[in-house]
Formats: sequence, structure tokens, C-alpha cells
Amino acid sequence: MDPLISDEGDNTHGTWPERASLFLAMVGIALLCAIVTITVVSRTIYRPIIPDDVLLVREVMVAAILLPLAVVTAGRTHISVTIFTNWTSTRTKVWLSLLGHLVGTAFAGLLMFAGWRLLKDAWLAGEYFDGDIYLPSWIGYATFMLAMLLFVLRLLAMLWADIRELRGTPHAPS
Amino acid sequence: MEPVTLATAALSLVLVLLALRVPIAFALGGVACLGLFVFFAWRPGGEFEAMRAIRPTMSLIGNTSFEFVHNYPLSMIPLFIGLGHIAYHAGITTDLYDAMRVWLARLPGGLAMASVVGCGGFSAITGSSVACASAMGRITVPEMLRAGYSKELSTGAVAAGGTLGSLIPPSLLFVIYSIFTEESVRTLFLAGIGPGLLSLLGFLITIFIWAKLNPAAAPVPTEQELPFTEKLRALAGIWPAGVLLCVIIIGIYWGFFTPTEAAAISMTLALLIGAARRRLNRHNLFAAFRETAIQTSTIFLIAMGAKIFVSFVSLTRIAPNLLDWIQGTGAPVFVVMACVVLFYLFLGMFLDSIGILVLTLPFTIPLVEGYGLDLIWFGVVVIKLLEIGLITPPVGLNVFVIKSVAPKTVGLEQIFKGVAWFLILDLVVLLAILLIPEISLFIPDTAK
Repeated sequence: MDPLISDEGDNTHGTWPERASLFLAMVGIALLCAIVTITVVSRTIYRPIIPDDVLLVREVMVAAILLPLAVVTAGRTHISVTIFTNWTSTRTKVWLSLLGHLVGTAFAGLLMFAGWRLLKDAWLAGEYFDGDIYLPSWIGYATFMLAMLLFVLRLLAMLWADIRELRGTPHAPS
Repeated sequence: MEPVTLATAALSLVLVLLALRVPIAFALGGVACLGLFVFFAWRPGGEFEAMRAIRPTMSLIGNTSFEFVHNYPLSMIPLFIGLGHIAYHAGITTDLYDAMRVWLARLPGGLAMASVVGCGGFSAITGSSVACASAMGRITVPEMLRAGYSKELSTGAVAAGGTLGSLIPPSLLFVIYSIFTEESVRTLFLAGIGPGLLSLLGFLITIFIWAKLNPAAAPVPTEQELPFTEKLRALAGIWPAGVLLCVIIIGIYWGFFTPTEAAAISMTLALLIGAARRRLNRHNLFAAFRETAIQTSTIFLIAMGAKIFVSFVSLTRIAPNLLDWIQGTGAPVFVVMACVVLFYLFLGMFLDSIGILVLTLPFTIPLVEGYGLDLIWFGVVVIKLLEIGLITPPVGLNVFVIKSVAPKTVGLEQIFKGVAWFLILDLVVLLAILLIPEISLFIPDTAK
């Protein structure tokens, strides 16, 4: 079975790596809320509690925003304009879906490649952020890369699903 | 290749891809990457050299997209979205409607008024028009129909009321507008209060007039009125919404919090209130966070694609060229603004709000700046236009949302017919915002 196509009834949740990344993003959102709230409290009591809070929020943002991309794609929940093509046949709609996934794969592939270059440069240079905890900058880039990798894999799986549908092979659209 | 020609070709390609159902994020991002590559590889008058373009294109794409998400102020987006989902699951937003229903039910069109006020309160917490229409529509439309309200009034009121989420802070559209104009989110939020309340008041007056002209469309309930103590009890139930509203609006107005901090504090409060009232359990908390993560990711990918597209458009300098051309025609500012308004109204008939915003701002902002107009005021005008776009045919997103949650007996044409009354009012409010900028700028000016 295609490893990227979920075998569960609720396909919008994707495969286990995608579900895990979505869960990490959810934890990330909770962390964002906690860090900013604690920072406001610490400002009120004039006592810093979390070091480098702004930097931590920025790092968590990368995970919170990008890790669910594969699940969003699996659920076909990207926003698109459908009014001009609603009248077309089911087969044409699959062709259009294929086109969308093709453009998406090209875009996400470039983002992944660009992310890889940033990660490689940061790793080789041993870059870190100035502050109290000297956080290495590769962590954010690695998260970006991982999210884009999952996103590209999911897009490829969707492309494959579209091709199979056009060829008349039944599949589990996810 | 001439940069302006390249930009024109790229924009045309984006429009074609959008018409072909390609997701907005993919169309904008994909075309922007291709455009950047061609821009760097094919200098005007020179040969096409692909190798020369790889490094600058990759650097620009990588840095723009990474820095866009590696951003502290923008953390308010997931936090405000999270607040909306948690407040909904904790029943905070629906309590507001319940209280309004108890107090307003006996007025002409009272239930519809309660729905609109509920929508106003809901949107002041969630910042999302579609979520507001969906959540309120599920509760209020069946109830109004049971009370004998006409299908047009019941559905039209909620579809229109749902649009209030775009103007009343915290509005996600204002946050996205601020990303592309670099205007203060705090000022934009404050600027949205006046026009948002004006729209709310206008909707209430519209319902009142409708019910007076056609009493059969909104019969006054026959059952006995609730005792005053019961009414007070219902009113007391809205304290969580009141607390959240105070944190967001007063906290930002008085400068106690930045919008990001207000988002985090209010989300924490919503979590605590929900837990204390035993309305949040593991199941709905998980659902709230999952919906937040998915919605955030969807919106950010569009904004990220748009950000790269804006970088590309800036390099080609098409916007200054367009401005020079328009100024060269000698068109007075009100004609230009009238064209901009008609352009947004037209796009609103077909495209989704976020798509319109990210697609048009790279071109309209330099134009508005070139004419020396206030970007905060223009932001309010644009968001009001997008609000109108949510209920205009053929693609009134809120109308479709209401159709999906309303009973099957309600037809799409009945909802559009109901919305028409509110559209007239919306156009009057739009005209007022355009002609009297103080409606938008008064509150931000007093907060300085």
C-alpha cells in the first residue's frame, strides 16, 4: 500500500508521520500561548521567567505553522477558486486537481530546496542566535525542512492518486 | 526580458491558474518563484543565463519564506484563531446569543436582532466571518424559522451578521493587511471598531424596518415573557465574553497589551474559563487545537506565497509604473478611488477575501500611497469591501455557509434575497466610511 495514503476511514488526518507533525503543531500553538502569557505575567512582576522569549516564540512559530501542511493537503483544504470550473465533468476536475498538485509540488519543492540550503549554511557555519541560551539557528531551519519534506511527499502522493484516478484505478483519495 | 512585461505575464498566469482551480497559495508562490528565476536569468537586453539565477532566486525564496514564519508579531494569528475555536467549544460565544435572545425576542424582528448582536460579539472574539456565520447559523436559523420568521430574514440576517467579523477586532484580514502594508495592527484594529459598530447598528435598523414593513416576516412570540430575574440570569451568563472583549479591545486601546499579548492572554483566559465551567474536555480541547493548527497553516501558506509574489512584483517595479500611468491620465483622486472600489466589489463576487487581499495589495497600496491617502483608512475601506464580497452573488461565501447549515427547505435564492436588504445598508455604510474618514480614524486618534 502507498505509505502516504492513510488506511483509516478519516483520511483528512493523513498517515502517522503527518498526524504526529499535526500534533506537534498543536503543542506548538499551546506553547506559543504559554510563552507569551508568562512573559506578560513576568513583566507585571518585574521578574523575567522565560529567557529569550521572543526568540523561542519565533522558533515555535515555524513548527506551529508549517508542520500541519501535509495534513492540510491530505484533507484537500487549501483555498481555491471553484466558481469557474464547477460546471466541468468529474474527469476534468481530476485533471485540474492534478494541475494544482503539480504547481504545488514545484512550489513546495523549491521551498524545500531553499530550506535545505539555509540549513546546510547554518550547520556548516555553526550559527546561533545571540541571547541568554545561545540557541543554534539550524533548529528552525531543520523544522522548516522537515515540514516541507512532508508537504512535498504528501503532494507527490496526491499527484499519484490523481494519475491513478485518471487511469481508472480505484484508490483511497486522501 | 523587460521586468514590467514579465510582471504582467506573471499576473496573467496567476489569474489563469486561479481560474483553473489551482489553490491560491500554490498559484501565487509557484508563479512568483518562476518569475523570480526568469527575472534574474534574463536581464533586459541580455541573454538567458539559467545558472546565474539559481543562487539569488533560492536565497530570496528561502529567506522570504523562512523569515515570514519565523516571526514574533505574527504569532497573534494562531493565537486569535485558537481563541475563537476555544471560545466556541467552551460555549462562550453562544451564551452571548442566548442572552440577547432573552432580552430582544419581543422587539419587532427581535430574534434576528439577537442573531446579529450575537454575530457581532462572536466575531469580536473569533475574528472570522465564515466561522461566525457557520456557528451562529446552526443555532439561530432553525430557531427563527421555528418562531415563524421568514426564510429570507432568518438566513439573510445571519449571513450579513457573520460579515461583522471582518471589521470588528480582532480581524484576521486586518492582520494580513498589516503584513503587506507594514501598518500597525493595533491602529488597524482600533480603526475597525467604529465602522464595525456602525455596520452592526445599521443591520439592527434594517431588521427593525423590515419587521415593521412586513410583520408577517418576524412575528412577535406569543408565549409569556420571562420574568426579570430570569433575564438578569441570562445576562450574567455573558461575563466570559465581556472579559475577553475587555482584554482585547480595552487592553489594546489603553496600551496594556500589544495585539499579540492580548491574543495570548485572552486565549489563556478562555481556556481557564472553559475549564472552570466544565465545558472544555479532552475531546473538544483537542478538536479546538487541531482546527486552529489546520486553519493557521492554510492561511499562512497563502500569505507566504503572496509574500514571495510581492517580493517579485517589487523587483519588477510594475506598481510604480502603473502609478505613473494613472497619474499621467490626470484622473482626480475620487475617480481613482471609485475605480478601486468597483474593482474590489467586482473581485468580491468571485474570489475569497484572503485571495483578493494578497493578490491586489501589491498594486493598490503604491497607488493609494502615491495619491497621499491614509493607509489605515484605506485598510478599513478594503476590509469593508471584502465584507460586502462575502454576501454578494454569485460567490457569497457566507451565503453558502448559511445554506450548508440551514434546513434543506431553505433555497439559495431565498438567502440571497434576504441578504439584498443588508447589502443596501452595507453600501450606505461603505459610502459613509469613504466620505467621512473620521468614522475609522477617530478611535485610533484618541488612543495615540
